[in-house]
Amino acid sequence: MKKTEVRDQVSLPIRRCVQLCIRGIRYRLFRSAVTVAIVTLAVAFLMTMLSTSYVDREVTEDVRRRTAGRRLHAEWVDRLSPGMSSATLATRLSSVRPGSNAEKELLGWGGLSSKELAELSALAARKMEYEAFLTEIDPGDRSALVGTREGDEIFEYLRTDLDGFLEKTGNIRSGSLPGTGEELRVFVKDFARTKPLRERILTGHAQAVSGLAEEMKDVPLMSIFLGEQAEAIAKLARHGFLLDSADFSTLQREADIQADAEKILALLAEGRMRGVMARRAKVKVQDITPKHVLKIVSSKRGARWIREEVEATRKSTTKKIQQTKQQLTLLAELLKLGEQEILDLAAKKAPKLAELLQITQIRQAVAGQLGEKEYDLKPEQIFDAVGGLEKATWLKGQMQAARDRLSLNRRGLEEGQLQPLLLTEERIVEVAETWREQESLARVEAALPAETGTGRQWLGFSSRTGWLIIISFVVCAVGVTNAMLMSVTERFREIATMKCLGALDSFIMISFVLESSLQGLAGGLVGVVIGFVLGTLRSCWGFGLLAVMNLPVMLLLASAGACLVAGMVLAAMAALYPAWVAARLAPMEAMRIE
Amino acid sequence: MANTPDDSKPRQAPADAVDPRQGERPVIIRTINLKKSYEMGQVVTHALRGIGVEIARGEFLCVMGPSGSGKSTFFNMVGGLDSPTSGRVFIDEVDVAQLNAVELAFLRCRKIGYIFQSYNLVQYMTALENVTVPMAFAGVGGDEARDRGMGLLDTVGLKDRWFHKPIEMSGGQQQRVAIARAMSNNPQILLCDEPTGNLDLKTGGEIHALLKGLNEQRGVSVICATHDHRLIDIADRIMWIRDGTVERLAERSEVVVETGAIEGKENE
Repeated sequence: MKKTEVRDQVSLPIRRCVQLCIRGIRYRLFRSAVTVAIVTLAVAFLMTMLSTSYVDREVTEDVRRRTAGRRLHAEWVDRLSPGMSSATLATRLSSVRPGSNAEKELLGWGGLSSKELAELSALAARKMEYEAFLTEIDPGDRSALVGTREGDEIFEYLRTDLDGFLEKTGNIRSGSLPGTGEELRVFVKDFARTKPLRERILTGHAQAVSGLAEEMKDVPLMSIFLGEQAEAIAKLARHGFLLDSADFSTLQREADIQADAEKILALLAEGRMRGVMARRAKVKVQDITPKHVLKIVSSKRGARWIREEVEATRKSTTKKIQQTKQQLTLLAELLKLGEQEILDLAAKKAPKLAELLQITQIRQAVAGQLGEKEYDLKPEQIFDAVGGLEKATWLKGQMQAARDRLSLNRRGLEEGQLQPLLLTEERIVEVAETWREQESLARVEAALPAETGTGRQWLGFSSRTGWLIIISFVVCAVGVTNAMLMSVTERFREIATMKCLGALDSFIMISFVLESSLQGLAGGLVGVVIGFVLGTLRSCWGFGLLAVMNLPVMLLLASAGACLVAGMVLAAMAALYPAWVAARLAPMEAMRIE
Repeated sequence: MANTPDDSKPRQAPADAVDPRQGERPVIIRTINLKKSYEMGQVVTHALRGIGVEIARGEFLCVMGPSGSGKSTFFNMVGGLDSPTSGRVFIDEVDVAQLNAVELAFLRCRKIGYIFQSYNLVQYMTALENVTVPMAFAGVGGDEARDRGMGLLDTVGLKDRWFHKPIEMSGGQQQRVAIARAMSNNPQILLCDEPTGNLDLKTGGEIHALLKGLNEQRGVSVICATHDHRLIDIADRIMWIRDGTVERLAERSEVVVETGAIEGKENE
């Protein structure tokens, strides 16, 4: 009898598996939706976190880059201002790098050896550690430890009562002393010993600043950056300040903007300008701030308006000066006359005398004299007021007082006369815009979370976010496994029938894993879109347009891809156990009748 | 063999089938002292207590017995769905116990066609797709599978309804599709587990006729577990199982008289 050949069963090509899977998913749409929704949630969460993290990092970098110029400028303002504080010195010392300009400057001012500077630098770093400790602890604990002392006083105090201090630090709960007590003892001693060195640096610096100021005459020191590069560098170098030529153009631009902005803001000091600007900004005169001014002039119309207003103000001041001058001339002329002559003029009803009433002070006095209201006073009435010698003497006295007052006014007006605004409209707008942008950047920078962009965390996540993501994935995996297990249970008979028809265990396994992966892919797609939108919106909420301008498109696309893969892998992994259960199912289950 | 099922086997089969009672036809299924017992806790249930039977190629065997008699267990053994505790099953001279999972899948795919009481069609597939599933498992796809599937649907009289889903068909139609599916890889054995259990008398009769037709025209061995006495009329042999043993194994000619008598009595 012929032996029948039994060979290995062929396995189904993957394309056919996918086709069958999609048919199945479409048939069981509701059950599939559960898996899809679960994966969507997890992927959306991951994508939200990724988008926020990437956008935030990008914005942070951009903000830091864009504020670099201003920071450099501020640093130089600090450097060129006399009287460096010991806290500033400590910051500079602790951040000094060998071979840098800062090191050379410090060496030069203090006349130090580089070994001494290295020691100072190490001490400054320790000092900042101790100060940070004292800042971070409870304010109550702090006052128990060091009272109300600040800065270097603290370390002076520690020299006298270190043991008491150490005993008290052992008792406080809100922080622990960096290093051992013995280290602090050594530090306090060394810190006191090196005090003369630090003072030498401070004196050297003060001398350098005053030397530079002398050379610059009355011009503000920062205007050094408005001049020639070579000249500025040479001038600074003569006094021990070292400036990289690379930094000069940045400083020049910053100083330029600063100077022009100051010109615009100086308009606030003038009374009439202040009034009209307050009216335009719709605030009370006493409430107007530089912010309002810059807002007004950050449009071209505003810039034109302010130039016109400056001209109008100048004209009106000039007119006032003119008027004052005329009145002074009149007063001088009349004051030359004796009392009798004034009486004669009054008798003749000379118009010259009537002109006196245009001077406010005299007008008030005359009105008072006649018991009339000031605004009702007619020019002829002055002649009635000068009836008699006595009255002429009184008028002369009034005239003298008015002259003194007016000449004072005149000086005031001449001094307060506005300089013409020598900036073009374009420049005004540019300055205002730059300034306002810098202000908002500084605000954003201040609000930036400290840890963003430091590269300390995985993908920019804090460890807490990382945990949340892992937990969300675990929960999601459990959900998918549950959904797939139910799907397997519901399809016992179908699976068994398939096995009776010749399906291999591997086919059953693959079809379930594939089904789950496809659902994972669908969920991933939806999740990526939702997550991206949410994450970006969150960043926009915090940073506004800056976030939109800094969208890291490639990075976001890559993370979208990664999220998709993560969703698929998650769904596939979660389906492994249910698929295994299905594959293990005995084919005779198909015979069972419910 | 690439040809349609009509060619090779049916020609052999009638030659063999001229006189089934000669007993000279090749044996397709042979069981030797088949035993199966289940342990449930400390109680051991003996589902089969030693069944030895030979089923010839092209034979129509009807298996009868009350529920719990071991009928289903016997079925699973013969269909290569379960392995015996002791004893052996040869299908086409191959010892089923020796086969690994992949070879068993091959066997189930091409040697045996299964027909279930509740049809077990895949709900989301059309009639034609259901019929071509086993072909796909056997590595036949595309136009060839479609043509063969349409041929089979024609055989069961459902050619016009190939695009219908199971839910759109009556029970009898679904069972016909199931029969077409069982035949899709030209199996030598059709295992039917109460094929008419869910159908009314008339439709059940049609299914019986269809099975008999396949048996006669294509030479397929049909093993049919049933409670339906009308099958006795068309079976070659009838096997009664009770308490895990063969109670009686008889040729149709020996039985028909009796049933006739029984029916006669009932009719009176």
